[in-house]
Amino acid sequence: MKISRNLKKSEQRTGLILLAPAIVAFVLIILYPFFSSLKLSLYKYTMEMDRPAFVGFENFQRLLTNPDTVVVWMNTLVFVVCTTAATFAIGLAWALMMNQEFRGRSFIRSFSLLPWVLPTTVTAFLAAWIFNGQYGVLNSILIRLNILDQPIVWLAEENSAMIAVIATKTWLSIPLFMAFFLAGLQGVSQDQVDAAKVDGCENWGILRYVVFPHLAPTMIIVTILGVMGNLQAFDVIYALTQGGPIKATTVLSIEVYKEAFLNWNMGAACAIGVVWFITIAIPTGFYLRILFKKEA
Amino acid sequence: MLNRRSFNSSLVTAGIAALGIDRAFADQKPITYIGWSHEEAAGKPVFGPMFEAYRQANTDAKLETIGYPWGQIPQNVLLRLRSGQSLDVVQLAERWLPQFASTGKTVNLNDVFGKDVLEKAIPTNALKLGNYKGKQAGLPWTSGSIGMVANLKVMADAGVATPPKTIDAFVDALRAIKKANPQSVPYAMTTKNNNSMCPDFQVWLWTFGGEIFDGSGQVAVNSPAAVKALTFMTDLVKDGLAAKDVDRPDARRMFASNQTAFYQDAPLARGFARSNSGKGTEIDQFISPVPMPVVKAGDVPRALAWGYVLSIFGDGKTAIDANSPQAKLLKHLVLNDENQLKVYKELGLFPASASALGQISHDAYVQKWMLASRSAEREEISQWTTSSDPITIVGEEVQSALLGQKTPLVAIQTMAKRLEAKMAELNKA
Repeated sequence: MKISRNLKKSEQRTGLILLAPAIVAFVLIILYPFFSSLKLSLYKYTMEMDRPAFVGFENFQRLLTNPDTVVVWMNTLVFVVCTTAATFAIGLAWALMMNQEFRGRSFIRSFSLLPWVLPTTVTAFLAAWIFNGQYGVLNSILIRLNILDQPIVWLAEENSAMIAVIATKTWLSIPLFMAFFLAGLQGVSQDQVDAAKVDGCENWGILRYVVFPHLAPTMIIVTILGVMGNLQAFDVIYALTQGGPIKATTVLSIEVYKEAFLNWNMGAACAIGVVWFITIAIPTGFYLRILFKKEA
Repeated sequence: MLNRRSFNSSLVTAGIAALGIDRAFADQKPITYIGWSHEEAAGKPVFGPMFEAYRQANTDAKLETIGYPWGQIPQNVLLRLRSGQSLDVVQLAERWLPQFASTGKTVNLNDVFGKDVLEKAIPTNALKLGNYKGKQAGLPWTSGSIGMVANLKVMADAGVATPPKTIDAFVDALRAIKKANPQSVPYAMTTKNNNSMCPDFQVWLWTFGGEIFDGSGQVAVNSPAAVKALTFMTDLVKDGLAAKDVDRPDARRMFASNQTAFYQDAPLARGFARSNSGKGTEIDQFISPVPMPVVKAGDVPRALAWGYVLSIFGDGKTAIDANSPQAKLLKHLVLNDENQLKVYKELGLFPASASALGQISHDAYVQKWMLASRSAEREEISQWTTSSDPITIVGEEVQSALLGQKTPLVAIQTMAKRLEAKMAELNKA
């Protein structure tokens, strides 16, 4: 912690006192459990054991030699990349539309926030009903429109289950992305847009040469936040597919939960948690760097 | 003004009073009950008054009830055990019992009530649900089986007059139903959720003469019988007689809306059909428990033992006898006919006590169910203390065959290899 030299000693003391509750809370709620998990990843601790037994890097060794680890990591990658990209594209397009003047704009803007307001598990159960292979709404619509002859079992096939999960998470995240982009678009100078028009720019040209450069910092932050959020996604996936069929939608968060609370193997769960943490730490590092650069 | 003498005497009086209060509190040490049924919407009005009646009859005991959703019971019981929080009487599903009995914290109820008393009061099959390695670690609160249920209306509409007894007759009936209603799923076999697929697969496995573990606990699933069972299940999906993406709740809904003729469920099936159909007891005439089809006529139909048990957890220091508040609570819930029959009437759960069962002999549904599941066996995997991994292995391999990713032969071979590796790991631990 760096305390400004310009402050008087009494001011520095007051600052530290004011900071103390936050530091205590951070240490108790985040730092201590984090280091406990780190320590536990070096132990074997299952349901039958009264106390953890030190095993060194055995949990990590097993994790790295288990072929399922690659599957889970690849699932995580596919889920995070596709969900972030889809949310980015749709969120940006929606924000551009919501930035135009038209009748009923305020209502649609407010209505767009609906997925954000709904509890995630409610959305997941709605999605499960939409994608159900036997009596799902989506199949019913597609069959009535003569697009399908037979229902597709969306959540029972590997690829379609991942698509369903990505679609649901995308739908949930669009309002957040849209809100960021919309805020960024408010700052685009109308004079610059008009000047571009005078210079002969069409809509695409205005987007490319005026709007996108202006939104670039927002885009970077939104992408990093999206990646971090999707790496942490759990509830929507678990409620929709529980990581199945087989392991088709098992991402790192689901694997940690299964190992900890279904297999009762806390040590192995913590080892996966460490891998998960390292995976999240990369985009977080970028995010913090950008944030601090901005502040500087 | 307070002088020194009066201050001292006040202090002594306060001390005596505090001791008295402390003793009173000690006498009132609460017993903690943990379960899920009393917290569910349907269970609240049934169990609330039941617990209240216990409190009134046992004024020396203070009862605290804590509820968690069904799926979160094992986590919360484990966390309470590890953190030393109080838990005295716990409601468990029969498949969770080995996990907790193996911790050594459950009380042997034969020592509390007497083995003879329990054997007289509760039928042997039901009592077995609470037994772990010879120790009576739980008393069955409700017992039954997971067996086949038939929708007689769907059968009749397809011209199937009687429930099929053999597998060949079963497949013929499914074909007739599919022909009569091409949109239907004649047999709502569970094809997703490892926790549902694993028990359903085991019943078919037993039907074809296979088993997952042999008598000595060795993996025995890699057998021609297992391949036959899985091939049979896979063919049902291929032929459209069963469907992908079906879990137990889906099966219940399709059964209640006459889209399914057969599925496997616990005795609660009738209650689900009543509520899901919106027809209440009107639908009862169309629901019939039927024996699982067998390979050849004369074979014994197989079923899976199922039930809820109540266990007493102890610290090993405090003696728990028949007059302890914990034992009295078990008696109140399990060995009290009035309460057992109330649960049956309101929730459709079969009584566990012999005398309560005797009083509902007029209910054809109960009688048929008991007849169909008289040879019910306990799930093989739940006998392992760490059952989640094996359940996942069996579920995943069954599903990989049902989805066409592996042939039944390869799926069974992989299942055996994975189970052997897991068992070796568990034995080493």
